[in-house]
Amino acid sequence: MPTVTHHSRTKSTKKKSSSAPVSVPGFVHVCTLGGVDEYLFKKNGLRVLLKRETFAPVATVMVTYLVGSVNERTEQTGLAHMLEHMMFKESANFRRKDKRDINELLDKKGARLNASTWTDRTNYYETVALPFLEDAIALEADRMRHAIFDAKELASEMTVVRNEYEIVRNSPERILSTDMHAAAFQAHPYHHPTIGWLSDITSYTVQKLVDFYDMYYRPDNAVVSVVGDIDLATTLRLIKTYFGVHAKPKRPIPVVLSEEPAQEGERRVSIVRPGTYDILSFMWKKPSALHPDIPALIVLASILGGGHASALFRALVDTGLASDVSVSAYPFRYESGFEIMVTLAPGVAHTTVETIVMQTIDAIKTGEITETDIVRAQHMLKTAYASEAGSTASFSDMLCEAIAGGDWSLAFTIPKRVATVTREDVLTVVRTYISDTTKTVGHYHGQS
Amino acid sequence: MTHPFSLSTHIRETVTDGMTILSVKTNDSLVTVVGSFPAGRMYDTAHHGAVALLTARMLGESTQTRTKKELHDTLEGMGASVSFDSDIARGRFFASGLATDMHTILALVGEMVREPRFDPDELAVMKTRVSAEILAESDDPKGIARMLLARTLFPLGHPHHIALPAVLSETIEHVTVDDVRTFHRAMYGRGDMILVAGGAVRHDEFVEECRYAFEGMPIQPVLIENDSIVSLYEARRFVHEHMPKKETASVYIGHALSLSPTDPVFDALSVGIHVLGGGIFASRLNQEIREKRGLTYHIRSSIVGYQGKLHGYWLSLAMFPERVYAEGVARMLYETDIIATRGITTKELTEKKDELLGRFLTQFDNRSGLPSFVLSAYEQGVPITHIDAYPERMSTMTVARVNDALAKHLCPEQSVIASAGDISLLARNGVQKEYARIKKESKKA
Repeated sequence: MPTVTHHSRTKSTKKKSSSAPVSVPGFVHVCTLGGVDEYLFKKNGLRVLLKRETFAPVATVMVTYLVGSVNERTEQTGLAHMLEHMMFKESANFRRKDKRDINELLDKKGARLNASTWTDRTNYYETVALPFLEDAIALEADRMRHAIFDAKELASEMTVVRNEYEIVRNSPERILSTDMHAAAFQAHPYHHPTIGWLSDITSYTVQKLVDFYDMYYRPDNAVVSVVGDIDLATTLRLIKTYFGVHAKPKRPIPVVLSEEPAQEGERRVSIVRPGTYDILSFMWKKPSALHPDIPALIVLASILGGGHASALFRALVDTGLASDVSVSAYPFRYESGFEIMVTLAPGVAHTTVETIVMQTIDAIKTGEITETDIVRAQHMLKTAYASEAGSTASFSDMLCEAIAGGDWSLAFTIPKRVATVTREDVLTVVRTYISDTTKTVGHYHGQS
Repeated sequence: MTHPFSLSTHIRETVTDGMTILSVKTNDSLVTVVGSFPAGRMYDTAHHGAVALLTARMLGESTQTRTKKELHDTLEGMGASVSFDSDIARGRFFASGLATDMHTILALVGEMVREPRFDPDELAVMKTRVSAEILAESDDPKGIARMLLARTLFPLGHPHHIALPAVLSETIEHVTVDDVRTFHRAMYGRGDMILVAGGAVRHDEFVEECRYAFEGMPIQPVLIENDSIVSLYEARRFVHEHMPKKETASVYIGHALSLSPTDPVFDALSVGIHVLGGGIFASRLNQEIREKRGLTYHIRSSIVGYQGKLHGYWLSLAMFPERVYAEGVARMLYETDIIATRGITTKELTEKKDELLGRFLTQFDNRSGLPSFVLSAYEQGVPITHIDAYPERMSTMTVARVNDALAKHLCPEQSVIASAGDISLLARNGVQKEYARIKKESKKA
């Protein structure tokens, strides 16, 4: 389901501080939450998140664009990811001929820089020693609107991406996950993998890239975050200097219109490849990140597979039927998968484990769940959320994924709501979302 | 660039009852405690490390007074997690939880290390789990190629030698509770125990909690680790494992090193290897093989394997599909030969100094990783003052020192090339021909 209707509710949880932390002309202070200040650059719609963290003299600059593989169409799958690679080539003020190579400029200053693409977002980031903060901001601002695309470089980078695709195809988990999504999602673009299908990867053109870039790489479709040992006012001024030159385009940002129709029966995926082990996977549909049921689904996932005291770990790993189990209710911008993945022990049949997983879930549905189970899951999640604040880079990642989910405040509101989930909430979501008719089951057979 | 950061100022250290106890204070509410014992697979060569691994893993199961269920219900009821593992040199635990619960968490870790039950049924399940993990690792060309490299570089019995997955699985099958108990008694004590906490910890309280948690454990003599230097091969050696449908092969090139991390030459060699394949984008391998020619997604070169007091090895890694395998491997070899014989330039050194000094600072961004970083340094016998002095040592580095280190210690002609994947014999045999072509082309240029 589209998430727009929930947006205002989540926004209201943020606090408007009585006085803006810093005042820089052109910026409006929007709100403060979790030590993060949000500003809006009114001229072009760019949103900025700032947080001070002073342990080491470093900062992480991250630009999150609200574009990912969900915005791609047939014959253009993987385009968002390809564009991410091409953004490391040249831009107007970062040319090799001027000895300002994007790849090398910050790398040669010891920065930890990279980028990534996922379903709902693309991000670019640099963790830099403070003297290079301005370089990082200048680079990100320049390539937001002034990237240069060259057919020869695209041809060379295509083979790099093709190799990345082949590396992904070496992983049984990734192969199964790709086919599970393709089976579970038929209309919605979560159907296709972020890296794209091979035939599409090998057929991109510069024009396709430019069109996609012009459509989505714009200040009003991006959030700049800076976390670290920074002076807030100085940082805002730098952002104004470099990102402030971009105009807000008049054309609207395209929205994703396709919705996944209701699933009306179990779907099955079977893969047989040369290999050394077997995997069993389940997927049900869960609502978007902004939906109020997400915290209870996250608690349910932890009860089932979070830690050694979880239900499936005890039923499968402690009994020697499996070597690993993972359960994910990771929130995405649109309706997505509630997923279970089990690595089977040698000689154990998929059907045996499948029966046990369903029995475990059925037991929860019938009420075999205690307050202690809920509290354990909540405490495990509390420490997991605390660990995300362990570096300026991981804190920035946390903000980025929340932005991708629909609102950066989710980074703080979801943990807060997880802490108030009740046994009744968990019973409600397991009975609502985990049903036989909305289930997709995958069997991966590694055969020697 | 100035370097206003000193790790020493954030660390406190106490040595008591055979334990080295350190804390790194940050403001984080989550506290991480890591600890290690001289209980790695190098002390268990007769079983290829199987007993060392199973002993470490079994410490996470039941104790004399608590079932595994009771233990994990208590730990996870606080949101805490505790895990045990072992590598070549050390057995380690990793614990994390909220600062307010650290006393209880450490007391439970102490109980798990001091008084494990080593229940036969739990051992049987653990053996199945570990065998399944080995099978899963055997499906990954990168893991297989790395094992192949280590097996070829280091002879049977050497700490860095890794047994064949099938051999290790069979050895695991025969491990008994008595094997595990005996290894635990011999290796897990306070004689060479290192404990590091990070987060909102008070050092004095942490020291007291450690004393309480590990009270009564024997204080063993510190073991002299076997760090025998291995000879290099007289000529390059190719080894390959065929893996059907693994379309991209992982390729390692490497050889053993005979330097300790505190040797002055070590820094110089590190700079040279960094020019070859360090960093993210700016290395020679990345520029020549990925950026210019699009032959691979991933390529790097580094010095690895310095665990405990063991000497490590140099390696380069890349991934190539069949269609560019011969050219990719040949170009890796060619770039390595060039840097070993001709060295680096003054410009490269200047740039690398900036990069490495910047990287020195950005590595401290990972506050939650600091305990493991400090633990690793102490295990290797590297003092924190040596880490803090890195910017100073870099500032005096010269091209001559780097090139001398490369000429003496980087020996591509004597390296092992280990690969795994679905690559035909024709492509593998094409490496030498491609190497000759590249060399000829280069001469013309």
